[in-house]
Order: sequence, then C-alpha cells, then structure tokens
Amino acid sequence: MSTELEKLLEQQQRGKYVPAAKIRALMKENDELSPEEQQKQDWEKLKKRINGIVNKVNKENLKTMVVEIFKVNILRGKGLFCNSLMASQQLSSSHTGVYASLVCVLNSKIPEIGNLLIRRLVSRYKRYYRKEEEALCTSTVLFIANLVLFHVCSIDLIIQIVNELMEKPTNFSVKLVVDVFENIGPFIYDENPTWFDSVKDTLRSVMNENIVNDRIQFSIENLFNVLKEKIDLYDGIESDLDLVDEDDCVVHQINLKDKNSTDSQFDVFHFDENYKESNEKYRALKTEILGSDDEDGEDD
Amino acid sequence: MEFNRELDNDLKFSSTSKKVPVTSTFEAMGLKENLLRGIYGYGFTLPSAIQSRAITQIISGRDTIAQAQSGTGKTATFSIGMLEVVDTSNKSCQAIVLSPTRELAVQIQNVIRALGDYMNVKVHACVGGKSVGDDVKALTKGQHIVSGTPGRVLDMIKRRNIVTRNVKMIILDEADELLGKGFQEQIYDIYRYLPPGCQVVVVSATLPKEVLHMTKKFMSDPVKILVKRDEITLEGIKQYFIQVDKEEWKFDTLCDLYDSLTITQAVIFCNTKKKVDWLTSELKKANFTVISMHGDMKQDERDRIMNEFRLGNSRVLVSTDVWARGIDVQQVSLVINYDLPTDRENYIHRIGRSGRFGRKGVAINFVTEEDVTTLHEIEQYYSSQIEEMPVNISSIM
Repeated sequence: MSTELEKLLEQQQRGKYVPAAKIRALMKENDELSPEEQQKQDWEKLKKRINGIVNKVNKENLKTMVVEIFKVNILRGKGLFCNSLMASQQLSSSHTGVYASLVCVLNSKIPEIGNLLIRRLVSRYKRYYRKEEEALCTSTVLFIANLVLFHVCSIDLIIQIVNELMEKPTNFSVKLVVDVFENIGPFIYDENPTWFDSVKDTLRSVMNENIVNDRIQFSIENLFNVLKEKIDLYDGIESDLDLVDEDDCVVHQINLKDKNSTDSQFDVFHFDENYKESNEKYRALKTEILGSDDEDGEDD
Repeated sequence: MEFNRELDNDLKFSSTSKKVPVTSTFEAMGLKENLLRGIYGYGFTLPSAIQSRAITQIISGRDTIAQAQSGTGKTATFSIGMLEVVDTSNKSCQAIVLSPTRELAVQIQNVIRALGDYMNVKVHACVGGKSVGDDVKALTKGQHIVSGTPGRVLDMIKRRNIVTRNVKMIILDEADELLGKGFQEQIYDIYRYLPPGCQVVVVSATLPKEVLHMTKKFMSDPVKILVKRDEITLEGIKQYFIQVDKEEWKFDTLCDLYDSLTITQAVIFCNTKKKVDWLTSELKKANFTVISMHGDMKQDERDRIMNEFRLGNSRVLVSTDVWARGIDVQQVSLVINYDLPTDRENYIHRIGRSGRFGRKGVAINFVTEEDVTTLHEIEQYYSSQIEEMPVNISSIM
C-alpha cells in the first residue's frame, strides 16, 4: 500500500469523505483479503448499488432499473433495499407510485421483499401515529395505501388503519384519512363499496359537527367534490406503472394488531459460512427471473 | 408544505416604521373565505414569519418594503395580499407584479392561480418570448392580475391592452434586480402610467442601500419589514465541499454520492453549456432520468423543462447559472456545484434552490486543486462556513 493511500484511508477513518475515484486511483491490486473482509467489502458494494438504484428509479427507466436490481443479490440486500426505499419515499412522496410499482415487480418474484417492507411500514406507522409525527405518518400511510393499490398488500390493512384513525377523529387523523381517499379512493370504491360509503358518512358527520377546524372541513368538502369525478374516470393503475399481471401479484395479508418483527438483522453485515452456496442459489434464481442470456456473474 | 418553525422563529425582523403587528394565523387576518380555502388547499397551515407581518400591511393599502431570505414564503405573501384586495366582480386589471425573469413571472402566475383557486380570479403571465397576439387575446378577455417581465408589460400598457386606470397595486419582486441598471428605465416608465395613489410593494431577498434609496422616488412613507443585513445568510442549508483534486474525478464522485445519500431530486450546476451537455449525456448513460437547461434555450423550452422537473419526471436537473433566482422546486434536497460559480453572487442563488420553506437543504461543492482559493473567497464573502464532507454522509440528509 502506498503511503498516500494510507494517508487517505486514515483521513477516512477520522471521518472525512474521500472521493471514491481518489482511492481507486491509488488502490491498484487489492491486497489479499480474508473471506470475512471480502464479504464485508461485497456487502458495502451491495448497499451502494441498491441505494444508487433507488435514487435513480423513475417512471421512464423503471423497467431498466428492475433488471438492474435483480442483478444484485437483492435477496441478501432486502433489508437495505427497504431502508433506502423508505427513506427516499419519505422525502419525496411524489415518487410513491413509482416505488410501489417497483416493489410490486420485485415482490411478484421474491415475496419476502414486499412482506418485509410492509411489516416495517406498519411498525413505523404505529410509532409515528403514537408520537403524532404528522408528516412522517402521512407519507408512511400513503406508501402503504399505494402498496395496496399495487396488489402487494391486502386492502384489509388500510381498512384497519383508516378505522383506527376515525375512532377518535382529530384534525390530524381526519386529514390523513382524506389524503388516503384522495389517493386511492376510486380503488377502495371498486373493492369495497360498503366500507367506502361508511367512511364517507363518518367524514360527513365529522365535517358537520365541527369536530375539526375550518381547514380540515374544507379539505373534506374538497374531497367530496373531486371523488365522484375521480371514480367516474378511474381506469386502474396508470399504464406506465402497471407492470405485473394481477394474477402474478403476491398479496400479503398483514394485520395492524399482529406483533410483527421488523427483522433488523437484515440491515447489518453478517458473515456467511456458506457464501459461495448462497451466491450460487441467488444466481440460479436470477437466471430464472431474467433468463440466461443476461451477462452473468457481474456482481457476485 | 410546512415551515420549519424553529428556523422561521429564529429570523430577526426589524422595521424602521412603528412596530409591525404580527398576525399568527391566516384566519386572524380577516381574509375572504374563498381565499382562505385556496390558502389551505395550497397546503399552508400557518403563516411564516414574513407572511404574518407583511400580509396585513399590504392589505391595509400602505406602501410596503418586505425583505426576507429566499424560501421564507415571499411570493405567497404578496400573492395573498393582492388576492385579498382584488375585486373579482370587476373585470378590469387591478394589480401588476413585475419580476426580472420569465420563469419567475410564470411561476408567480401559478402561485396566484393556486391560491385564488376558489375565487374565479383571472391571472395572466405577460412575458417576453411569447406571442404578442396571444397576450392581446388574453388581455382583451379581462385579467384581474398581470404577472410579467417589465419589457412586455410596458409594451402592453403602451398599446393599451393593459388598462391601468383601475390598478390599485404594483409589486416589484426581486426588486434589487428590477431597480438595477437593466430594468430601471422600464420600471419608471410603467410607474408613470399608473394612477396616482397606486400602492407600491417592493419585495426582495437583498436590498442594497442604493436600491432602498431609489424606492424613495416612487414610494410614500413605506412600512419597512427588513431582515438585518448580516441575517441574510445561508441558514438552513448545510454546505460541504469535497476535495476532488482532479476534474476527471468529479464524475465518479458524483456517482458515489448517489450511491451513498438519499437524493430525491437534485440540481447540478456547471459553468458552461458545453459541460452541461456533456454531463447530461454521461448521466443518461448511467440510467439517470436527467434534464438540462441553459441560456441558449427558447422560453417555451425552458418552461417545459421546468415543468418536467417539477413534476418529478426527471430526478436530476443540470444547469448553468441561468437557473438561478427565485425558482421554487419543493422537492430539491440537494444542490451540487459540479463547478464552483465564477461569480460570487451566484453562489447564494444557486444553493438557495434547496432547503426552501425551511426544509433541510444540502449543498455540496466539488473543489479541484485550482478552486481552493475561490472556495475560501466565497466563505469569506458570505461569512459562512463550508465544511469538508464527512464520511458518514448518509447522516447529513
């Protein structure tokens, strides 16, 4: 190792960001790494690849990004993926549909991913709701709502959440229900018209009985104004995002009351005794998903 | 759309006039119900610091000078004031907003439309680079509010397509620009056409002494709501630099940032059009959804690009300095100076794009060996600290 490289690595150790290119330029031949070090390095690479993809994915490149994500060992990185995705969605709720669509595709091939994501979102929802973190709670519930829309999660979960929110209507909880209905109201109407009507009735009485402030009353009124037209015009999921045949979707049944683990062990590096085998296993799965003409072995 | 209350509360206000009262809710401002609806519909819940001070002053009819940092809700301040004063049962033009750039004028039009959504208010953007015929057609139909650039607005007034008889209020946005050399004459010309007693509202992030002095010529005893000079900092925006050393290493570093941080949308600034084109194509090769903008583009193309970016169809915008002042894209959490700006003034305009409305914003500067002195100059000029990027970068966003 050159002294300059040593210096850079030392700076990095001390908490300074060193451009990757700088290190790469100096690091010619890797010194022999122990299996554990090698796996750790792979893990960091995996983390970065996944995060990069989540930062790039958009309507226009969705199909390319799906392939990119299957190319990395997404089974091993599912915890990392869920975290990157949730962080991103929280900052940019306008991309929620794109993210839900991405999850829908991955979930149809590897259902563990959707399952883990929903469990984590539910646990976040409970925490944010309890702490009355309005913005965070709203984005979390809207993510769940979109996973329902994209057939990753059963509609029962959103029914349970909305029912809980309407139990003790506050400005915050009612606004959240309004947001959910503005988002996926037409879908709910198609799936469960009776429940849909009952929520509308409750909202109407909340509006008329002055339980919430003017602002929220306006928002309910506004919802009623747009909902009918939205239902008339509703034509299923936006075609750009509708990538999976409904029969191939894997719908998870997760309940609000269940004690769900968030499996945080998936988020940190673990040494794998059978690294080769598990890589082989993923490679086989990848071939099954992407077909064999895909350039092989890029990342394992 | 929430303000960062903590940050907003930290803003210090001074007014040379008698104490300006603070109205802490929109309801308490006594606004028309349909305007209140529009305000809530737009996503506002409580007024920001500048809004709680300036809106009632504007409504009272007094000439007003309002100065506040970008991202504190200035556009909505005068828009709400204007909408309250406009009488929609009268078809004539009652308020004019002037801005230095076309983008800004169009954006203001959109904000007024959104806030006035329930009021049947007619707003027209009157900007250069668009067909005069279309302007004439729209103006003939009757517009309550005109938002435009000085040249085109003056033209329309001279042709009598904008009738100024009933104009109650004129707003100069980014007034330091408007009262600078390029526009001064046009502004005075427009002012001459306005009825006597027309209310003048001056708004800007910075108000140099010369400009403040100039306002005396056409404002009578204005109420001044000013942020103290040294308060105009880059508060709320975390600034970092990365020593990339070599130009060739910038691109790798950019990709590495994307692999390490959570970035929803970002604006990347380069100094030349050529560099913008090159970087755009490199990013496209790497599967980014990216869009670019530079000075050579025609107006409608720039509008289209802005819109695409605002809708989130592209997650990266690469631009030269043309994309500086006042444009408001809520989601932008990160500004990257791929090249350091050659003009120090542009630095604040570039990185003021992130962290609007008190959101956390981050600016990252790429610094080559030659840039080190420029960076220090910027730091000194803004008496602001630009720290070296830490390794656990995910913690900063």
